[in-house]
Amino acid sequence: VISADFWRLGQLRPRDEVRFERVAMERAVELLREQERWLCGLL
Amino acid sequence: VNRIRVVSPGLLTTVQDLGRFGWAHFGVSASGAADALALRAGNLLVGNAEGAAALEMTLAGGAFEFEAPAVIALTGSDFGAGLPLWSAVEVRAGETVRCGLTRSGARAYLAVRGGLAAERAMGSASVHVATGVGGRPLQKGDMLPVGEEAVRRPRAGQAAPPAGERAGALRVTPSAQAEWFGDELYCGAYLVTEESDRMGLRLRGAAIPSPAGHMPTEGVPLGAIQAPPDGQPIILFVEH
Repeated sequence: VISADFWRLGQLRPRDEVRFERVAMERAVELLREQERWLCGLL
Repeated sequence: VNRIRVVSPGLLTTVQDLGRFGWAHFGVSASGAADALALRAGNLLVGNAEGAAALEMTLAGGAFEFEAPAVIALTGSDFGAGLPLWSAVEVRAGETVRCGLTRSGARAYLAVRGGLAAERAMGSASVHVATGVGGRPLQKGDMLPVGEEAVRRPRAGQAAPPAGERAGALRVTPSAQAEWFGDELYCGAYLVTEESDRMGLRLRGAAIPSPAGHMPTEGVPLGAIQAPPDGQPIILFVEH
């Protein structure tokens, strides 16, 4: 699971449904960067 | 020193930070917040360093009474506390913040300006629930001292929650061992089972056939998807 989706793992509840989707490593890095930018916006 | 009295602990509430890294070779799990993004966001909102210790609540939250005025932030899922989420909120002396059942996802975080002055084990305040390293889940009557480690002013106004939905596909990248397996994982939906915890999310759905031959043993990081002999995948989580 890509790092940008780790928070969603922490929010999964029993009986929730999950699916998996392959993404390229470059996309995973881009999504993580976007997430870090969002976090910086909280400062 | 301000203190927080645990009026009721909720279902499973623990002190968490970003985890206990660098001890895996002694078999000590990193632990840390299950939704680290919500923990970091809460800390930034109240003006803490992002990795300050805060409370992690699970499915049903607790009630917490503040001895002195405080600034807190509730992040993660909506546990019906009646306070704005993703926002620095002032709490009066003697006020009790009451969280209830989740209205969305599994976890909510309560960050307090100054951080929780919790005891550290191996550099981290994170409780490892399965082993008791770092402490135990909160109990009624516990007193939690608030630290004085704020690093900037609290953020004014409400922040937008992180992008993306809790539901919807989890994105994955193939590991070095992915070629041992077929495409079963990507074909259908899996159900998160009741046996899931901070150690692993145990799923139920289309079985992933075990490959023939002997796969070399490999270290497994946080978020790795394991296919045990019964084919029901496990996502390794923060206490693995």
